[in-house]
Amino acid sequence: MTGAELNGSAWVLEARATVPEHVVYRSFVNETVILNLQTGRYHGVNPTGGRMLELLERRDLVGDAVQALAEEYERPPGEVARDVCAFCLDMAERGLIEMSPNGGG
Amino acid sequence: MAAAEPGTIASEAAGAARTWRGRAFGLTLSSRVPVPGLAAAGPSDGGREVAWRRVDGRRLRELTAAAASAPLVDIRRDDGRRFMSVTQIPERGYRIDAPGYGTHLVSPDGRSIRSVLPAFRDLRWQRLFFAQPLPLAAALQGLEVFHASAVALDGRVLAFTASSGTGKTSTAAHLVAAGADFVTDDILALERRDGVLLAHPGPGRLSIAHAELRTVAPERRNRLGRRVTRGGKLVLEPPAVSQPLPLGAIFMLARVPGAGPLRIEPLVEGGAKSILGSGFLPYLRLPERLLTHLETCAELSRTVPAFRIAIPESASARQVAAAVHDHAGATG
Repeated sequence: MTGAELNGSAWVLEARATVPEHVVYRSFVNETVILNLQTGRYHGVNPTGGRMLELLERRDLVGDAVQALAEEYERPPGEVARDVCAFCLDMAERGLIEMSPNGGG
Repeated sequence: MAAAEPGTIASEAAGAARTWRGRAFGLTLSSRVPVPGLAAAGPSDGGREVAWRRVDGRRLRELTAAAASAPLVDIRRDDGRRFMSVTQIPERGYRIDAPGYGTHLVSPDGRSIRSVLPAFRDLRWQRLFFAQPLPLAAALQGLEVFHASAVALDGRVLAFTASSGTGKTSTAAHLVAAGADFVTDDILALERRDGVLLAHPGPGRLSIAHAELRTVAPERRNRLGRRVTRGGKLVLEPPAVSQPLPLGAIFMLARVPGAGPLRIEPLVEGGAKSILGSGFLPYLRLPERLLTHLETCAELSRTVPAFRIAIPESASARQVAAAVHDHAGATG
């Protein structure tokens, strides 16, 4: 599902986000670099974005990742949810994550 | 076996029964004849091997005849004549062609290089061989190559990256003249091993402008080794390290407009982009190579001190080298 199809972010929290096999990422000192092995294009996100990516991969649902981030960063869950949904939109638009609604695999 | 004299290649017929082994970029090269510019490999050197053979043009054409090939690089001179091309040939490898400098076929796994060399007896063919086929073979065998010159101080390698003409080689040359050990000129091969980033020595060749050599104090010029060629740029053969060493620091050189002090600052902003952008062989975009490049750069970012050197217009390479030397001594 592309970023363009993620219209209205509320359902994003109930979705599953996965990083495709052809997308890899590694932590640098001040940022995380994401590489699409198919296109050879690099994308940079700040350390918070890198942490979001890690938790999105490890947790079943986006909402679970939001909860973990809120605790880790000691921020209100609503605020974190907004940021994470925007992040998912952006990553999906770039083809760096795939969103499966309703927690589908 | 001693290295062959510059400008000559020993008889292949006489050498057919023997194999000479040399090393550069983390590879042990086997050849029927010594390759000028490569240090002889010891019996204990092993690891990544590459076999080098000279072939005639017809044989190379047979090897590279293919219905489908993918051009990766096509650089032309101002008059339209080819300067260098790189072509990927399915199942055969990579053909590197530079008229006047030779044609080379590097196998897909980087374990074989076959070369058609020009008829000239000078060392022109080495410039291409050390700049493209050999680094390509290293990259295909899992090493990561960067566009950098490097020296060793106190058992650690200091690497210098920059766009061409900024002073990587000149800075390295002045450091060698001042007592550092030569590691490589223009291309640096790195290997991740046991949690350490190791820098492998390159060919024992350093190319410097005559004018730059004149800025080296006369009593220090001997440290840069003997002169191999005199035409155009000088090619020198400095004494070099014989083993890979840990990468101790990386310096990004950048010319800045105007006057002002020469500054060495920790690389913070744009560090990832600078490090990733220092890679060599941008045309080699195999997924496994891209991943190796990313992982090596990430590890470099996390474990190796990185600095930006802002070089004002008035600063010389000698001054840059002195600043680096002082900085290395201060930071340990």
